[in-house]
Amino acid sequence: MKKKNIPIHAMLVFSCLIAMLPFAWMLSASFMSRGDILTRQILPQVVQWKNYMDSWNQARFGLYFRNSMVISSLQVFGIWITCSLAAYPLARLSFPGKNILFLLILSTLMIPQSVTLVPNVLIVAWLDKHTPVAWINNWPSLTIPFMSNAFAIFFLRQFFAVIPGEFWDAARVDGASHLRFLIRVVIPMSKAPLLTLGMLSFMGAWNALAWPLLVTNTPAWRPLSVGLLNLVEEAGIELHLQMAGATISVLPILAIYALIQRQFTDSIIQTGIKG
Amino acid sequence: MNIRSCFSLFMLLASRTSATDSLERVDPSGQQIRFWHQHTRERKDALEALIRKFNETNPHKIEISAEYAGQYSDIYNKMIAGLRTGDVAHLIVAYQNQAVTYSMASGLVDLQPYVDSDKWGLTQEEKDDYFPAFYEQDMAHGIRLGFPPNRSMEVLYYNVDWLKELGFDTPPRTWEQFREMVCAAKGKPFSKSLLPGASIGYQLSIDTSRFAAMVFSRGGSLANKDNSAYTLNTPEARETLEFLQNLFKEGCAKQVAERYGDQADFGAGSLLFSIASSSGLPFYKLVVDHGAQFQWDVAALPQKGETPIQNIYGASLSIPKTTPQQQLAAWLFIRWFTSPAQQAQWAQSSNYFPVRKSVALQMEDYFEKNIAYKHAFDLLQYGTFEPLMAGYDLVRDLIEQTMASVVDGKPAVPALQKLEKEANAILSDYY
Repeated sequence: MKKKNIPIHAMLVFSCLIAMLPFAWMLSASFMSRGDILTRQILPQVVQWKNYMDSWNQARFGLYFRNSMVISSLQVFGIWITCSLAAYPLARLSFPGKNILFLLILSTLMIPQSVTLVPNVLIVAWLDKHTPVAWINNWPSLTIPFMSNAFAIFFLRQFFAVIPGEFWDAARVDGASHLRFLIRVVIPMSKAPLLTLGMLSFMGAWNALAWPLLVTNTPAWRPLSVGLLNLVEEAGIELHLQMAGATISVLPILAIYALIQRQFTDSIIQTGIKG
Repeated sequence: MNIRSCFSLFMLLASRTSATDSLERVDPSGQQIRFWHQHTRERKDALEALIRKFNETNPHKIEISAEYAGQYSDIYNKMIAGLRTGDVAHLIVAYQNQAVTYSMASGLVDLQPYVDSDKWGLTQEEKDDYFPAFYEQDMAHGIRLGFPPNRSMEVLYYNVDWLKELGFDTPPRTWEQFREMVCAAKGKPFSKSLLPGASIGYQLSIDTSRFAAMVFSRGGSLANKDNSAYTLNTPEARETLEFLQNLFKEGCAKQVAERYGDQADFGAGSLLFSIASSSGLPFYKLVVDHGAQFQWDVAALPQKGETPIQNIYGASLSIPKTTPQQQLAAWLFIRWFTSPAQQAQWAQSSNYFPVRKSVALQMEDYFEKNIAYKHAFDLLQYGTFEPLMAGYDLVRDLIEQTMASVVDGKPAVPALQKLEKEANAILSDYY
């Protein structure tokens, strides 16, 4: 390592340790007894594996885990399909009102989610009453409203815009339509941003709590976040169980990131999205 | 009383009479009732056991289905959305200020006709059996917005052994004694403390109910008699905040740094006093048993007068407007749930307080095994409550901001003047 890089590396390592501290504590606390938590121990005196069993059983993690996997996966697939179709014309076509449309889409990023919660519930309730599909207490209400969002469209649009025009020229010579070009050329070239978007969307879906509580009344389709809420007591500490539950819930996210971390970094570089 | 008041009273009585007559003819048989609640784990299990018992034994074949709907704020969001969509439960848990909001949207049923009904209601003897403060807490301008299934109270948790080491035999009766004891604790950590370096007399968690409890203990209140205006810039409120500010300045108290941090430190023997909800009693027992293992107890907050004045609170059961049959069925569950046998079972499972005085007779064994609970139970007769006013949840946020700013060093009087003005501005938005 060059000497001039040492301070930079030292700062990066230090920042990394600071960022990891909450996760390290979460993992440590998940194995602690109540007494360890009370006395602010850094490491458990005796490893309490049963915290995980207790959390799993008390919070119905089996059912909620399955629900979260299905809901998050469906949302990701939906976002890939709809947002690719929306981002492509914004990136590569010219039509009247394109810029205004793009600005309108982006402007929705300014609206806080809490403002749209009740109107969205009204829409979902209307659909529940007027369509043959059950929406309340069912997977459609937990997935379809989130199968498109402005950030995903913007993210993909940035990447699609930098694909060289020569690819389209070559595809057009072969008789390809825009849709065929999108499916056969653009999407395969966009693995990195699509995987990144998939991971971010998966995380968002995985962590959602307010919406699932609004549109479900029974455990049948509730996600893991509701299970974690079950571990929060009204008047006292159960941190050891809460941290065990939190650790369980974070494992799929970590696993997915481990699989796609190279593509994640590549896509950040290619699209110019930072932070 | 002027003509307008007479007319209002007449209309209220007329509507009540009409409502009561028609209520007697409603048949609740076979109704399926959805109940949104916030209980988890053991309390959820205990509630579901009671609901199964009701479903199996009630003569009308009413079936209650309990649905965990998140925390109180989540239930509130569901209700706000549900009042627009028409998809609401038949029975919900709601704090009084939340119930006022639902009522302003014409979303709740007035329960007083049910309480007074000859056929479905409570006898006078039953009404007298309720603790007065519990029974009155859900009344707003003559309308009953909810009915109490249980209650909790602000109490003073104290480390008996540590107090003895400091030279005191009894918990503080006055705020001056409280100050003396917490400052003594600063200089002499508890001998069994697991965190002696972190010992302190009192940790304040910024909470409006804590503030209210301290103001009540000084003979004050948060609103005027008819709840038409907040009275937050009072001598009692000023005394409360300045007392806390001085404790902080003297280094005898500090703010709680993390949720339930005071509970954890109490259990570790590094905190002499904690002022918190009585519903935390089982958790305090747990933290002490897993912590420094010392003798502890609860007492009334320090008081100005001879008779304690204690802040009691808790969410009530409210009935959204649905059909007369469903509303009556929901009420019959409430009536059953608040009967002595069920209250005794619920209180022992949940560690909340029962709402009826006669339940004490069925809890003698429980009292013997839970002395601290018994001591707190004995204080219920001195209960009073925070005001039932629209927008109170927003005012609670303002009170907490004011508490935090004053204990941080800002002068109390201008802070309370501003608070009172802003609180009444919020109130005027609703009326």
